[in-house]
Amino acid sequence: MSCLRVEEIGITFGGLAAVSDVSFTVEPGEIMGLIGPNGAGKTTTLNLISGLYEADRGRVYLNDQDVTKKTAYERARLGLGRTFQTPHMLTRSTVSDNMKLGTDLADQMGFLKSFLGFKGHNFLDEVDGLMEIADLKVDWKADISSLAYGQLKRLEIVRGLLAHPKTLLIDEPAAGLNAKELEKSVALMRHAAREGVGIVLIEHKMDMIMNVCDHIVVLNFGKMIAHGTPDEVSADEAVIEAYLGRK
Amino acid sequence: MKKETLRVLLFALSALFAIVLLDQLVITNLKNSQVNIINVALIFFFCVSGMYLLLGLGGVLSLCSVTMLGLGAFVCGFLNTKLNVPIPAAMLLGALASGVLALFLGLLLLKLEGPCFVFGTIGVTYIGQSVFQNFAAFTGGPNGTGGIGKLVLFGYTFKTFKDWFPLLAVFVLLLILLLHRIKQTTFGRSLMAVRDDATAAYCMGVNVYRTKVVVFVLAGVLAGFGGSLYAVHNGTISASLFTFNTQLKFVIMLMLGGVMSPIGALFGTVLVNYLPELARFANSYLNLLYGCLIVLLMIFMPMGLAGILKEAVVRYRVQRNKQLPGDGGKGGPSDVVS
Repeated sequence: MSCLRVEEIGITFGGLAAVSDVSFTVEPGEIMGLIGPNGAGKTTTLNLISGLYEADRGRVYLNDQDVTKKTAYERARLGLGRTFQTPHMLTRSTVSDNMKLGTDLADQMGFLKSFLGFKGHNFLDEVDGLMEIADLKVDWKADISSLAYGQLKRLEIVRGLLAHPKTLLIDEPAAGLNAKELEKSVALMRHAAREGVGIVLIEHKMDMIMNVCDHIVVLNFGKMIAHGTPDEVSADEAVIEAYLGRK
Repeated sequence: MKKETLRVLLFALSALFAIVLLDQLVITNLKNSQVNIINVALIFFFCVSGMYLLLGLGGVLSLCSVTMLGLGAFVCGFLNTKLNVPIPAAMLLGALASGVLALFLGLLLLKLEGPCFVFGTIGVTYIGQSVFQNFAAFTGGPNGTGGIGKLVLFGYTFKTFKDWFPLLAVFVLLLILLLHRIKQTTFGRSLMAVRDDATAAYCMGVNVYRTKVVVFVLAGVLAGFGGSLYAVHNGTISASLFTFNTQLKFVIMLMLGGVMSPIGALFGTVLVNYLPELARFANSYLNLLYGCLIVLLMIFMPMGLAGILKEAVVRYRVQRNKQLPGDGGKGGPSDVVS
């Protein structure tokens, strides 16, 4: 059973096809790269998958369940996690509240149970483990706004993993990170994949994509121009032309 | 026992002790009119605390809380004076009526975003103001509703304003504990997510619309209960209170104390309510005083008095953490994650 299947998905903005006929499948434990030049429709594709945009055509399946008509929060509750190019955190809250938002999604506990102090799964070891992999040492009571950008990028992935997703969409995790921070982000992704999470990764750093991904989908002008292993994609004429502008 | 539970228990016990001290040492020595002002401030806090949930936690600026307050008051008054419903039941039904109205309005208006929603709620306040003034069969019209019965609890009748103070103070303490608890629940975090980043909230499984509707209803019930308390406490209610002007004062109360802190909001409510008494010598300049207060507030302390206090605590923590090189500071997940 695939954790994510996208079939001929597409969306048009004001007559312009931002994404058209994109199809791919992600298996549990697999890391799939989604690459393409700027404006190729990568983030739009993630928005279509996560339900932030409503697709004009095509279908999205999570664990073989058709979720095309489901809203973003319903897809999240079915196990679809997401990070953003710029971290989307609770800017006026503490690190702890931000992370608990992830565990709330994993537990999906009702208000009354939560109000009465019922506990969800024991995730202390999980948190410690993830923070260690991410090499993050932060004051949990500190305001999230006091953290550095590199910390926020990694924390967003940690929060995503605390929600126990079956599929995780990661948008440009390397942007703004130094080499060491990038290494830790990759470690988090590899850890998630080992745990059986299917990952869709958008990234501009080609060396990272080639090292981390099991297979890659290449978009250009909203269309899928190549799909294959890193070696196959890097040798593809259409990809070389899209990136370098030559035949 | 968990550290947090212990802290809350300690706070509750200290607050109870403070209430007893205040009642015995201060309230007994005040004039009835002064106690009335304090009591009304405590009652208004029910309305302001709803606004804290809406704006402070949920980032939703609603300017129709005063309508919920008024509806609660008039329903309670109507049920007691015209249908002889006992006071406790009338009070609960007043709160329920406001909750039902809030549910209807929330479903209708919360699909709107930002300024459109705010203007929608202003419209509701003007509609409420007009209905309260002109729907005489229900509200008594310009004369208001009078002769509302006294509250009797466990055989004790609350006759004077001084009788009411300890009860209202305990209600407010319970309300603060409730607000504190709500913030720590999944619902509280959903609200904060909606406030800070609706997109992130969606992607973290939060039904943004439903969360906003639920908090709107909760705020409505609190305001309605406050209205019921007001009706029974004063024995008479007039439509002239439930105006847009009063709504704006509620906003000032919340902003002055601190939009992110229930205790700050309580402080702001008492201060703004008591201001006319403190500034009796300058009564004709009261509006000027309010105006200056708002301008200064927005320039120098946009997060209110509680915000200043929080900033000081953060500064202290940063200073302390500087002494721990290579580490983000004390406090691992086990300290805060339950």
